[in-house]
This record gives sequence, C-alpha cells and structure tokens, in this order.
Amino acid sequence: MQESVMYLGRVAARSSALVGQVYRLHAALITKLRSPRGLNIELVRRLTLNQVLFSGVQAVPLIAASATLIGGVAIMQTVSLLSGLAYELIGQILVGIIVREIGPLIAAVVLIGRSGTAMATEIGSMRLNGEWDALKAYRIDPVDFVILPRVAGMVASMFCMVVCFDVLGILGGCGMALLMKGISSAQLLSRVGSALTNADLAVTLLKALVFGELVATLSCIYGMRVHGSPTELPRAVTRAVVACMVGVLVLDSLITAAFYIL
Amino acid sequence: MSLLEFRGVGFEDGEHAALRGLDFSVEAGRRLFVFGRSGSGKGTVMRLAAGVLEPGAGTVRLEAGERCLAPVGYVPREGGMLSNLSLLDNAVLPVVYHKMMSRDAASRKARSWFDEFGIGSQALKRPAEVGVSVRRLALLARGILAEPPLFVLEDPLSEVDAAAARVIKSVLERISQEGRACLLAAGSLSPFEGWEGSFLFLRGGKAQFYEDGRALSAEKDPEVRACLG
Repeated sequence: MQESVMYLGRVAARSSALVGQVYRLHAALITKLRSPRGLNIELVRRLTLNQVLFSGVQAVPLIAASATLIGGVAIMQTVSLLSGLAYELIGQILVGIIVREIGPLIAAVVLIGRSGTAMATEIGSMRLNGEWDALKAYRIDPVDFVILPRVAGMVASMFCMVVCFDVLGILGGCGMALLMKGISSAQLLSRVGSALTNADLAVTLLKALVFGELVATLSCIYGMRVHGSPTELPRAVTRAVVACMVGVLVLDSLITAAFYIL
Repeated sequence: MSLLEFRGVGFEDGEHAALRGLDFSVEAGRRLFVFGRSGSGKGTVMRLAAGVLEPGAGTVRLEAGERCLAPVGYVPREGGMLSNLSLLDNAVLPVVYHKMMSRDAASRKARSWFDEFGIGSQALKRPAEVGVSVRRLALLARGILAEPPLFVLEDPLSEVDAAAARVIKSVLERISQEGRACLLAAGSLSPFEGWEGSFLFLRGGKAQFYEDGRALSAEKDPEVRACLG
C-alpha cells in the first residue's frame, strides 16, 4: 500500500514537473513570437518549411491510405450493424467518427510515430554531440533555431494532416457506401454537408492545434533532457512517445467532453 | 582591458567537474593556458567562458562590446557542429544567422579560409564524413569568420595530424598578433612549449595562477610538472 502511494506520488511529481516544462517552453516561444528581436526570420522560415515538408508533406501517403481505409471500415461496420437505419445516419456517423474523433487522433498518432520520435532523437543527439552548446556559444538561441521552427512546422503539418484525413476519410466512407449499397456519392456528400456544423469544424481544428503543439513540445522537451550518455537517447524517445500518447488521449477526452457539455 | 573576467566563480551540477572560487582575467592580445589532469574542470571553465554554462556562484563577465553578436570563437574538442549541415554551412552559420554577412559573402570568405587550411576539397562534406583534423580546422574557420575578440579552444592540438597542428599553431599566432585574446585548455602543455602566455593550473576545483612561463617552470609541485610534459 505504502509503495503504491509512493509510486503515485512519484508519478504526480514527474507529471507536474513536465507540465511546468511545457508551460515554460510555451512561454519562451510566445515571448519570442511577440518580440522577435535577434531572430533571423528568413532562416527560421526556411527551417519551418523543412519541418512541414518532413512532418506534413511526406506523411500524406500514410494519412491518405489510413483515412480512406478507416472511412471505408466505419461505413462497413455501420451498415452491417444498423442495416436500413444506417442510410439516414451515414452523414452524421462520418462526421461524428471521422471529423470529431478519429481524424485528429490518427493524425496525432502518425505525427508522434513519424515526427515526434525523429525530433526527440535529433534534439537528443544534438545535446550529446555538443551541437546545442556550439549554438549557445555563438549566441544562437536553440529555442529560436531548433525549437521554434520545429514546433511551428509540426503544428502547421498537423492542421494539414487533419484536414486531409477528414476529407479523405469521408470520401473513403462514401466510396464504401457506393460499393456496398449503391448509395450515390452526391447524396452521401450532401448528407455529410448537412450533418457538418461549425462546432464540428472548430473541434477538429482545435484538436489539430492542441495535439500538434503538445506532440511537438513534449518531443522537444524529452530530447532536451538527454545529456551525457548515448544510452539516454532511446529511453528519452520511448518516454516522449508514451507522454505524447497519454497527453493526446487525455486532451482528446477533455475537448470532446467540453464539446458535449457546452 | 580585460576581455574575460572570472570573479569568485563556483560551479557544481553533478555532470561537469566542480569549481570553487575561481578568479582570473584575460586581457586583449593575451593567451591563457588552462591545464590540469583529466577531470580537473578545464572543460567546465571553457564552457563557462563560452557562455554555454552559467556559473553557480560568482560572475563571468565578457567584455565584447555591444555590437559584437558572436563574442567568442568556440572550438570544442569534440562535436560542436550541426551534423545535418556541411562543414561550409556550419562555418558560415553564426555570421549568417546574426546577419553579419550575406550568405554568399560568408561562403566566399569561408572557402578562402578552407583553402588556406588545405581542406577546401572537403568543404561540402558533413562533419561525420571527415576526420578530427578537418573538423577541428573547420571549427577554427567558423571562429575566425565571426571575428570575435576572444577565442576559446579546448585541446586544439589533440588527435590532429601534424599538418593540421601546424595550421592551428600559425592561426593561433595570428590571432594573438591581431590583438585577440585566447583561452586554451590542454591536458599537457608540451605541444605549446615555448609559447608566451599566462597559465592556470586546475586541481580539485581550485586554480593556481602563473603569470608567465618563467613562473611556471619554477614550480616544484609534481602534479603541475607532470602536465608540463
């Protein structure tokens, strides 16, 4: 019993320290954006675009394939479970499942798997190889040069990935409905259109923003914690993935709950 | 005029060697050799001087002028270059970042230094693709390009080949002649035999200062003498 309490205490202490670090990093980024003195905007813009290319553009095939398949599977299950009733509800089901929930969640998983791990590894390696120190010695703030472009690039990529997933997920669902029951795509799309509200769009975009920001900052923080030994690197990456997954699921639940309560 | 001044500097974080009450200064055009056995805190002093670490106690003051955007030419013993950039891009990064030069002008100037150092053909390679000697020379070129008033070099002659050592020595001579200050860390002073400068011996986090080579050669302490080579 005592051990369990102590374990929970340690977890709580670690979590609050992590929340503090996330807060401080966000504060540093916001301060930098509000007062970009000493910031080489052209260079930061170029690095941000590189991050968008890696995190967003290169993830499009994976997002497209998973969105189409998940959209199709969602309709397959709905049609087989609800039989005739389903046809009227297909629009709402696609919006509810794809736009509100699965789109942002799967995009976040892809972002964590492809970019979060890469970022934690890269920043951890920079710490180990003295690259971080060299930047500081030449008065290049690592927050400007390393963190800001990566966070901005990942948030922008997450937005694009979620929009891409939502659109292709709905199209995949429509395609499956056409294949299984011969329902015309125009009819289905009009049902999706009438089911889609501003609140749905706000929720999916809010989740994209919050998840992208969370995954980027947590990956950076775990990478920055590496110092001294190369064996710390894989542990930092594993911890970054776990923290990102838990953080995304918790925030997803909170945003969804807030959406229904409000 | 003191370019760098350590006053009562203490440092302890568990990762780097501890320092206690360190006092010294480096004047313009002067050299200060920091020496001592492995783990004595040479690297910590270098990182504090370069502004990479913050002192736990006391102050490290760098008098570089307000307009100096890269006040220290930092040449670490290992690493220190961005692994995803070429040697040339690494060399021009500080001056381009701080907009001290256009990218083209900085690249031309860096190329001329690379050619003078005999590593021009390796300029577009990444740090992992070249040896220690080439990397060290590229780090030196990066420092020179930024035109800082103070150079901080960790064991600049260790693990480099004879040709690179000759180049590094001649560059260090030129740096002093131009009135820039140099802070050099070395495990052994034998590669710098005959060089003028002051000396700081580190042991157990404390420092012993020697004004010049004569004062140092009069020292009888066996641990100090062991570092003289």
